[in-house]
Amino acid sequence: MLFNSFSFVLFLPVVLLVHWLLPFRFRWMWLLAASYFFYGSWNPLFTLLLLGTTLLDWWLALQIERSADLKTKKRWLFFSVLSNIGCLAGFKYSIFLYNTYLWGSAALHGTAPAYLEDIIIPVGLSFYTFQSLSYTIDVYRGHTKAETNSAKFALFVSFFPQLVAGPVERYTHLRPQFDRETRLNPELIATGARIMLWGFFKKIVIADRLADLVNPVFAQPELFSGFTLFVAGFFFVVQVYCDFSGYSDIATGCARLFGYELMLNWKRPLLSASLHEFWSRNHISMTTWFRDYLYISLGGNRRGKLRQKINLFLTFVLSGLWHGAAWTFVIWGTLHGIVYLIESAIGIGKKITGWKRFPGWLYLITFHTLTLIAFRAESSHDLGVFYSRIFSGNWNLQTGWHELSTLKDTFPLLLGLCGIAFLFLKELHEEFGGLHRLRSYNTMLKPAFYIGIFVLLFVAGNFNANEFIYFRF
Amino acid sequence: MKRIVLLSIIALALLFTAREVLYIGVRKYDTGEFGKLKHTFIDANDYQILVIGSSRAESHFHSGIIADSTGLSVYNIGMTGATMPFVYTSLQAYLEKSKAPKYVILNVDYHVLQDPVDSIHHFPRYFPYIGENEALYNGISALDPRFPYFRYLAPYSMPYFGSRYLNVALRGFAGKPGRYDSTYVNGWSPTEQAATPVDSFDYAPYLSEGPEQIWKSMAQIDSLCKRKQAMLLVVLSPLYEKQSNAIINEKELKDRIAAFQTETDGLLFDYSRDTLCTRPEYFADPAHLNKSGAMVFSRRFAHDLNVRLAIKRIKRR
Repeated sequence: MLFNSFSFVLFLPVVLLVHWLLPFRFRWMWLLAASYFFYGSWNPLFTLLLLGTTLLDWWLALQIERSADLKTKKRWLFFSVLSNIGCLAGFKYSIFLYNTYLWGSAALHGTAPAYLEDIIIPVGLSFYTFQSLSYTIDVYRGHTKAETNSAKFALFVSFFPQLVAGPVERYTHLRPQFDRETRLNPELIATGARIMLWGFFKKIVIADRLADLVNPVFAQPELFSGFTLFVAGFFFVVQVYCDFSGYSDIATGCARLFGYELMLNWKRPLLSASLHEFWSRNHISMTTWFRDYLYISLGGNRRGKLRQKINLFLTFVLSGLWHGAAWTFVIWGTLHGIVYLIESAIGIGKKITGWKRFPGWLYLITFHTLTLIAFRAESSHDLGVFYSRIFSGNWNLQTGWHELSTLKDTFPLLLGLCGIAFLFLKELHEEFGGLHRLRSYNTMLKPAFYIGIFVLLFVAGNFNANEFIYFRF
Repeated sequence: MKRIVLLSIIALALLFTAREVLYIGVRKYDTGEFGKLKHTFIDANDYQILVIGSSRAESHFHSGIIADSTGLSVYNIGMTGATMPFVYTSLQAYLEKSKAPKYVILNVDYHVLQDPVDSIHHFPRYFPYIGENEALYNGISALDPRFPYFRYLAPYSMPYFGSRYLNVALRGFAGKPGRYDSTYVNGWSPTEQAATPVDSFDYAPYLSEGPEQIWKSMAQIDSLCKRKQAMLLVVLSPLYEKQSNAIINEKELKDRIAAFQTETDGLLFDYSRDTLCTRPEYFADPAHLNKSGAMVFSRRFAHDLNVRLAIKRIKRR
């Protein structure tokens, strides 16, 4: 069930209404049932996988807590890591690894490899396995006590607003909220609805509209000039941001309607002026996950400067691989890792101020566009076509504009550009808060803005129920 | 809470208003596909020949050529994806506002005789007209029960309609035609050439069988024509030869069409095995003539029509 589908429009009000009508002590049970129903609507069989990994981690965490010595604790944790990563690897990486082996062996023998086709990956697998794994690591580290109620733990793992594409919640943040009674109040509904509305707008009006311009270029890059390829790459930067942060907003707003707060996942990353700043604002729940559970586990900065650099680099490469089982994702992660280390070496940090922000922003957007092309390219060969054309210097603006305006028509292109301008204006306003100072901001401007985007959503939205990009991960 | 309710009401009211504004813009558009829909469902017309049917009717019968050759005014309301029940609805809707023509040309072919009848192709394009033409609304609602909801619930219809036709509405207000509008001539519009040559298609044998409703709709069209004193001319327009060869029950279908025609007071024109059908250069795809094919066919049809009508007139005397 997609957030931008008709079935969700029916599902949410029913679940919400029953949730608030039920006495507090039954609400979490209702949410658990609704979450499993939500997940089962994709493929009922995969709920068994979700249930299995959940129960296993719940039991392993109890064993970790009950173990007296560190060695036994480690052994139980190892099982948890093995089961979660094994599950992820089995579904997501086995075919990739096998095909890589086929490619290598065929290259040695000079034959054409017969690649295996991808298998169906359970939706949200990368998210809920990481969420569940963070819990067992937290228990191991003594950051939290093990959960005794398996059903409440199951709700933590499967809470439907964030189940399939995050934010990757922490047990210590979300779980206590299930025990805290919240009363229904107008502010809760208004805030939740506003956040959801902006999320829907980003997804349906901006991301899905840009998808119509991005997809044809990435499907046949050899047909386009360097300028068009670069612009399509930039459109994809905005598309993927609006798609994913749109999902997070819908999830956050939806959770708020039920009285729960999810982690802040995006902090206007496209306004960043360096890669360091970008990674402190982009997909925060996942970035901090990699920091807390991978980078620190590898030793962080505790084992010398060289080791710290290696750890950082490895974290980037593995985060690339987390996004998808393909070499293009590894290239993306590697490029980010290299440039992040270069920035560290020359002292570009998170705090860039004044006029330097503009050239910094241009650099970040250019770099992000070029690397995200690797993220989206359908094969390594296509990626080569992109880079060779972009860097060949064949940037005829007239040809480029003609190519862009004939992808669909001039109108969808203009609509896409308006969407991008609207997004940046909104984010600049959030960043610098220009209109907040006006007296009529809360009483007039804010409601008018949200009513406006509600109408625009229907007038300019692309309602073809396109899947969220991050569902693939 | 009162404030939330009030703001929600304002938002919904604005949504309904925005939809009406979009519909007005689309109805103002008077060239190309939407100009044709406006002309068919809203304008009061007085044509002597009316072409009805699906995409083959739309792309095979060049209104200008037929009008020049017969000396009669011609309009083509053939619509891409129209099933036979929808063809009947569109004829009813046309007659709601316009005078009955002297002749109604119904294009029948093996394709339309096997179409399912429970879908309306590109259904959102009819939204702006259902409030203006009751026959269209009643007919289309009988075919698709969602239409009453589409008519009255903006949040339900807008996701299907909104952005898709925003461009059309803006062009309607600005009076600026679209890129492909100039291809339309009194409702006729050519089919775009497919990238694959017609000889490269896969022509697996198949049974051309559709629901009985198709034949019932044809009978309804005939009875409506009789009521309006319009002569029904049934035309089997050309399909590419290999496509016709693939139809297992071609003879049975032809017999049934002939039987249907004898019940009408009109004429049957059969081009399903015409020499034109053997010429790949005249086809955009196996089921549609391209622009030059349509022009050749229209000249031939107009000539035959003149001759057959003259013979019929002599016989009557």
